[in-house]
Amino acid sequence: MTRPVLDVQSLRVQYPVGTLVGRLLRRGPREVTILPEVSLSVPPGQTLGLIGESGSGKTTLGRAAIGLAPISGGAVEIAGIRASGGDPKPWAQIRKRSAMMFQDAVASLDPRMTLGQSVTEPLAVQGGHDGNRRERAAELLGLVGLAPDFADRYPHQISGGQARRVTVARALALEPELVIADEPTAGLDLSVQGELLNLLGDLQHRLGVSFLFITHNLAVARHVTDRIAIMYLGRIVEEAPTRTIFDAPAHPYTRALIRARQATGSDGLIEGEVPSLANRPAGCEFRTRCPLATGLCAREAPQLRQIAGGHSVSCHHADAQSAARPKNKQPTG
Amino acid sequence: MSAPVLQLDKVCIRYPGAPADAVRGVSFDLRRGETLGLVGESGSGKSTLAAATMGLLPAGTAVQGAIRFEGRALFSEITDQQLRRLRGRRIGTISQDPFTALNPVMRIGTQLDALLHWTHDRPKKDRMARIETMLERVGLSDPKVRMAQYPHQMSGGILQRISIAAAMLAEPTLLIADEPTTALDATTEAQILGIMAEAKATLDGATLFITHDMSVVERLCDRIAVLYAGELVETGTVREVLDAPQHPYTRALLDCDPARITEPTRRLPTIEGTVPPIHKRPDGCIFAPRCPAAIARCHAEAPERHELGPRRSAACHLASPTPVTP
Amino acid sequence: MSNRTAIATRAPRFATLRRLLSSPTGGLASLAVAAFVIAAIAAPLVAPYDPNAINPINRMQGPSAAHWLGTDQLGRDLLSRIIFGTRTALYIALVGTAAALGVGMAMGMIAGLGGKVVDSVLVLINDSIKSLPLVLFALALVTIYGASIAALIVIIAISMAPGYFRVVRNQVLVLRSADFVIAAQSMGASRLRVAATHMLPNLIGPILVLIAMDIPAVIGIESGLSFLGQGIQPPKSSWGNMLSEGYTYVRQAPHIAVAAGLPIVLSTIAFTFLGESLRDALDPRRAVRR
Repeated sequence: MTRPVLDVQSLRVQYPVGTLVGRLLRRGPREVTILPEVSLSVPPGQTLGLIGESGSGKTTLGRAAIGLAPISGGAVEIAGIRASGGDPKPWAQIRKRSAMMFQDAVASLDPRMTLGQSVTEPLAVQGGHDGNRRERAAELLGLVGLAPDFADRYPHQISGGQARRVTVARALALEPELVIADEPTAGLDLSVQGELLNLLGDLQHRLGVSFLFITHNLAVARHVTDRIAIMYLGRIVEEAPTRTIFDAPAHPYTRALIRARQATGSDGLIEGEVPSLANRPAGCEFRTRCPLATGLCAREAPQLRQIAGGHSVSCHHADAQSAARPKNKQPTG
Repeated sequence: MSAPVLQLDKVCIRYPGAPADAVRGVSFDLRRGETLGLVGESGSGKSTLAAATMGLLPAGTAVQGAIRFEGRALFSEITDQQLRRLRGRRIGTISQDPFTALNPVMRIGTQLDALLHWTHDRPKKDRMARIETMLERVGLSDPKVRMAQYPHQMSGGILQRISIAAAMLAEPTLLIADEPTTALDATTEAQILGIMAEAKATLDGATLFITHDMSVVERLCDRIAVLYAGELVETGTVREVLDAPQHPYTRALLDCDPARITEPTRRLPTIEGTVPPIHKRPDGCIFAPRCPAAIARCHAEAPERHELGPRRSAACHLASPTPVTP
Repeated sequence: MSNRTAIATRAPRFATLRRLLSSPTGGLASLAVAAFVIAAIAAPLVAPYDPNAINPINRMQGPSAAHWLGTDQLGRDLLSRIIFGTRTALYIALVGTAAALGVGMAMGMIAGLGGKVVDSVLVLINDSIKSLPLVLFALALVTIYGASIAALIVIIAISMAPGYFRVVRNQVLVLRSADFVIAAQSMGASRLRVAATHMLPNLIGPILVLIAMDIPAVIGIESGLSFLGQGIQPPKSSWGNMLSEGYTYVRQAPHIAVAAGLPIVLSTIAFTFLGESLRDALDPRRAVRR
C-alpha cells in the first residue's frame, strides 16, 4: 500500500482548564481531554469523511492535524513529514503541504483584506513565489469559477457560496497534498451545496489532492467520501469504506446516526445526551445511550478492532449486531 | 365549516426602503389539525412570512393582501395590541436558536410560570404542576430539577424541548416553528421531531413549520408550501408534492437533496444560476432564468396559479393536472 | 514585494476618509480639528500679536477690531495667547498620547499573545494604575519632580496607558481565536506575521477612535494642572493658566475667562465628535450601505 498523505498516530489533545489561582492551588481538574487517543489515515487522492456531532472533537482533530491544538501525545505525518509535540519546524513544513477550510467561510477571511490578498496570502506567507501576485489571484479565483474582479472585493461584499469558493481557492494556492475541510457546506442552500461539492470533486480529480472532510452530514458524506470515520466523545468508534458504513454499520452509534435522518417513528433512535467531556463514562463511553449495553460495557472499554477487511469498530457487541441486521440498504426517505 | 386557523390571501410584503416586495402574492390556508411545511432556500421570503404572521415585521413595512387568523384579518380587524396578547396565548412560537429564546438570568420554572401570567389567579401549586406535566411531555425525565435550573446549565437539545413546552403551555391554536431543528445534531433533531409529532397530536389547532429541509417536512408535515424568491410556486399535501412535484423548482430542489439520491454519486445535481436579487426580478416567470424546461412564454408572461386539484396548485405554465393517488 | 503594494493600494483608506467627511458631524469635527492643528503648527504666522507682549495701557479690554477676543490683565492679546496655548495643548496631547499608546499597546500585545501568568500580572498592574486618584497622583509627582512639560507628559502617559492596554488586550484576545487568524496560522504564518498583517490592521480602528476620544481628556489634564498652577508656568500661555488668570479677574473682566474656556470646550466637542464619526466610518461593513 502506498504511504498515506495524512497519518494521525495515537494523537492526544488536552486543553488546560480552570483559573490561575485554582491551578496554583491544584484544585479540580487541570485539563480536559478532547482527543484521548486518535489514529486515522488518508490515502493519496482519496477523501476520508470524519463524521461526528457537536462536541465530538472532529474540529479539534482537524486543527490538531496541523499542530493548531495543544498536543500532549502521539504524532502526525503529512506528506511524509512527521511532527509531534512542540517542535515548530516540522509543523511549519506540514502547513506548507496542507491547507484548511473553515466552517464559517466569511469569518475565515480577514475583513480588512481584499479577496485577492486573502487568496494569495499563502504565497506571501511561504514566500518564494516571484510571479505576479495579482495574476495568480485571478488564476486561483478562475479555478473556482469566480471572475478576476472579485480580487478587489471585500469579504462582506460577497455571498456565502462565493466566500466558500474563495476559501477553496486559497486552500489550493500552494498546491497542497491535503486539504482539511471543516463542514465546507455548513449553512449553504442545497443548490449551492451541490455546486461546491462538485467543485471539490473536480479539483480532486484534476489535482490529485486528498481531503479530510469533516462534517456532521452523513447524506453528504455518502456521496463525496471514499472512507468514513465516525467519532464519539473524541474517539473513533467505527471506520470503514463509505459503502460499508451505510450497508453494514457495525456500531450502534453509527446505526443511530443513519436512522436519525430517516426515522419516521421513534424506533432505532438513541435516547439522552452526549456526556460531558470532563465526566466521561467508565467502560464504553457510548453505553449510557446504547440500546445494547450490558455489564461488560460498563466494566471494560472496547478496543477498536478489525471485523472485516478495512472495517474497524470499537464495540463489544459488533459481531452479534451485524449478524442480526445484515443489511441496511434503504437510504433516507 | 369554521374558518381556517391561518389564511393568507395574495399577501405582498415590502420592507421599508426596499426597492421591491420581499414576498409577492402568496396565498394559502392552514386548517385545524394540519401541519404545513413552509419550505424555501435563503431569500425565499419564508422568514418574512413567519414574522408577518406573528406581527413582528419592522415598523414601516407595507403589507398588502390579507393575513387572517381564525377569520379575522391581522393589522385591520386585529390591532397590534390584540395581536401582542394573542402571541403566547393563541399563537405559540418556537425559534431556531434555543439559547437566545430563553432568558439567561431566570430559572426555567419562573420563566415558564411567567408565560402563564393570565392564569395567575389560580394557585401556584396548580401552575407548577401544569408546567411539570408539560416538561414531562417533551421528554424531560426530571422536570423538577430542570425548573430550578438556568438555561446555561443545559444543552441545546434540552433547551429546545423546553422551548416547545413553553410554546405548548398555553395550548395555542397556531404554533409557528421557525427552523426549530436546524441548529441541532442529527440524533437530537430526530428526538425533537418525535416530540413535535406528539405535540401536534395533542394540539387543538394547527402548526406552521418553517424549514429549508424537505426531509424534515416529510417526517412531520401534512401539507407543504414551496416558496421561491418571495413567491409561492407549489402547494399540496406532502405526498402529492414530494411524489409528483409539478413545479420545476420543487423538482430541482428535491433532486439536489443528497439524502434523496439513492445511489452514491460523485456529481450532485445543482440548480444553474442564482436567485434573482429583489430589485432584478425577471418579467416572466420568476424561475424561468434557471428553469431547464422554460419555453418562450415563460420568459414573457408570469404564470398564474394553476389549480391542479383540491388545495393543490403550481405556478407554472407547464403544470398539468395529473391523477394523484391519495 | 511590489506586487503586494499593487494590491494593497486598493485598501480602503481613502474610502474611510471619504465616508468620514461625508457625514455632517464628521465633516464639521474634522474641519474644527484641522483648524486647531493649523493654529498650533503655524502659531507665529496666524497670531496677530506677540502673546507675551505686555501693554499696560490696554489692560482688560473687551473684544474690539484690534483685539478680537480682547486683552488680559497685563494687556496681552487673548487671541494670540489662545493660539500659542493651542500649540502647548496639542503638543502635550500628541506626545502624551503617543507615549501612552506605545506603553499601553506593547503591554496589551504581550498580555494578549502571551501566557496566562503574564496576562494576569499585566492586568493587575494596569488595574492598579487605573485605581489611583489621578489628581492626587499628578500633584504628588509634580511636588517631587517640579512642574514641567516633561512631568506633564509622564503623568499623561501613565494615566492614559491602561485605556490602550485594555482595548488592545481585549481585541487581541478576540482576534486570537478569530477564524481568519487561525487560517493564517494554518498557512504557516509566523506569530510576528499574524500580529503584523492580521492583528494590527484590525486594531487600528478601535485605537484611532480611542485616541480621538482621549485627546479631550488629556487636554483636560493639562488645563486642570495648569489651572492649579502645577502645569504650564506663566508667562508661557496655556488654556489652563489663562483660565486661572481669568478666574481671578472674573468680576472686572469676565471676557478673559470666557475666551480661555472657549477653546477647551470647542476642542473637546470637536475631538469627541471626530472619534464617534471615525468609529462609524472605519466599519467596512458600512461601505456597501450606500
